[in-house]
Amino acid sequence: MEHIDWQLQRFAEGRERTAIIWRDHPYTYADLADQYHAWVRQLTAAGVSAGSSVAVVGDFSPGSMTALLALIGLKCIVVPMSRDSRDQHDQFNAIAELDFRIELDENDQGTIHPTAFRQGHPLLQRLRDAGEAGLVLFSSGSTGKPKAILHALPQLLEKFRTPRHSHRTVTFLLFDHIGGFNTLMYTMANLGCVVAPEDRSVAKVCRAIERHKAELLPTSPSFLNLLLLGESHRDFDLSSLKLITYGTEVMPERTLQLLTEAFPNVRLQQTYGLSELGILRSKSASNQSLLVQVGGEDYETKVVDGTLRIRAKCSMLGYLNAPSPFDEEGWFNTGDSVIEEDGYYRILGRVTEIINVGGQKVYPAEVEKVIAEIPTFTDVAVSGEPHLLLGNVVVATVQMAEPAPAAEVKRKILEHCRGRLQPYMIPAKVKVVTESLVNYRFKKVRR
Amino acid sequence: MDKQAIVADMLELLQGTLDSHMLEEGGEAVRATPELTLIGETAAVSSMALVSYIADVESMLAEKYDLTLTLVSERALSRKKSPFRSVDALAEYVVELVENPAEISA
Repeated sequence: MEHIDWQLQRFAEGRERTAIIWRDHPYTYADLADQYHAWVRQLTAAGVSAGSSVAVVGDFSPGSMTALLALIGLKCIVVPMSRDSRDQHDQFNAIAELDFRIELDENDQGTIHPTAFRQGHPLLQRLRDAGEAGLVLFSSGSTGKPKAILHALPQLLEKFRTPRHSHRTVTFLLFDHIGGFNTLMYTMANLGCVVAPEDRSVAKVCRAIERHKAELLPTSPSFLNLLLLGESHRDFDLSSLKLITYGTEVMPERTLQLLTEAFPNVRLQQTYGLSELGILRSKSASNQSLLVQVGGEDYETKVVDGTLRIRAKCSMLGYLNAPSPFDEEGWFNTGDSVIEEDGYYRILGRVTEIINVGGQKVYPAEVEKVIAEIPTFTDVAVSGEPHLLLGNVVVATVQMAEPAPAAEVKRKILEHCRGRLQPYMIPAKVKVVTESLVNYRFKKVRR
Repeated sequence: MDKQAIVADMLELLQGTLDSHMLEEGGEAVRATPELTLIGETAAVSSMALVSYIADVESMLAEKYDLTLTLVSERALSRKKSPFRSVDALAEYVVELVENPAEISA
């Protein structure tokens, strides 16, 4: 059990403390410890043993958290899965070579289903031979097939041994996301309290913050846009918030500006992380700034050809279904376009999202920033479309509550962008939609 | 196919583009005519504006005439005389696309 002996010890030290508020009901660390032991018995009886590849299908709950810990304690290969990615589960089951699937129902009751997907992937075998627990996460696969990322858990969990300050934290980030996993492990290691909202809508998240006095909200810029749009910070008492961290996508300047105005007493911190490398320690230059330092003792960073490269002590072992992305010296190309300013980085966006118009680079976020100034638009996503003459042209998809004819909207955009953007950056095509441009992971989708 | 109607609609769009262009670049107002040069050294519009204009024309053809056409194509670009050189040429090209959907390459 040595992977998480220290965690179990902390459970004992903090028996009476609230570990998680789920369905508005508090559960203590003593409750979690009991559930942990019950899982170990149940799993062992079902035939789960060291090296088994086991999925936990659910969301943050007493049952799911303790199942994860029990599996880690048993030195299994753990595969958290959220119900949102349901239609990809068949793929995930096979890629992760599952031996078992634990399904948690609406009442947090778990059923253990044996499965037979084992193929003997060398990386999985490596963990088994070393007697180490592993973690499998799937990248969101916005460019083609989702990649399965395998981490060796002992080294990933190492940093949680160091006691740090704990907060009452909303589990907004998804259960099967590196940010979500990191939040969970950090909170438990420091005897903090997890606040699990009923769902991830703005209203329910705000309600959870208000009701349970949450202090930390780790989230995405798109969610914050929705929150600010609906002015939910006025409808709910969010005064307990001390820290909002944002990551997973580029933060639009305008959103950050509005955020500092709406939450003057809250610290705003940009986070940076990758499923392949874990979450880096990061520090924003200031609340209002998009400049950020990333790294910490386990990471080295450098910029090559305008993209951020990272070398991590606890990087993944590799992809289960793709070739290794590391170069011979262990550097990973993040695919993020960055520039350095005064010892900080400014993240411009994904390299793959850069639109090349006649040889000129256009960053979607830059164009979105200007178009977003037009008040009648709810949201805007900028992407590129192939064009025979120019290589690509800029396309703007505008979300409006009351749709206006595309020609009229385009004219408005042209008028507004003139003088504010270079001609090649101005959208050549405009689409008008009423539905949200943000996906279930609260990331803007630029089609 | 009513070529005259298409020309009229294209000219209306072009006038909008020219007016915007004038506001941007200054200079005198230019009137949209079927023969006005749109490409080359004496073009009345910038290449970016032309690209945007062609996209506008495609949208208009789809909405008003129920025609889904890709005007910027290999077929168009391989012509000796560019169909984008004037509104008149572009309208001719649209008619041709409708009447001869698949061109057999020589």
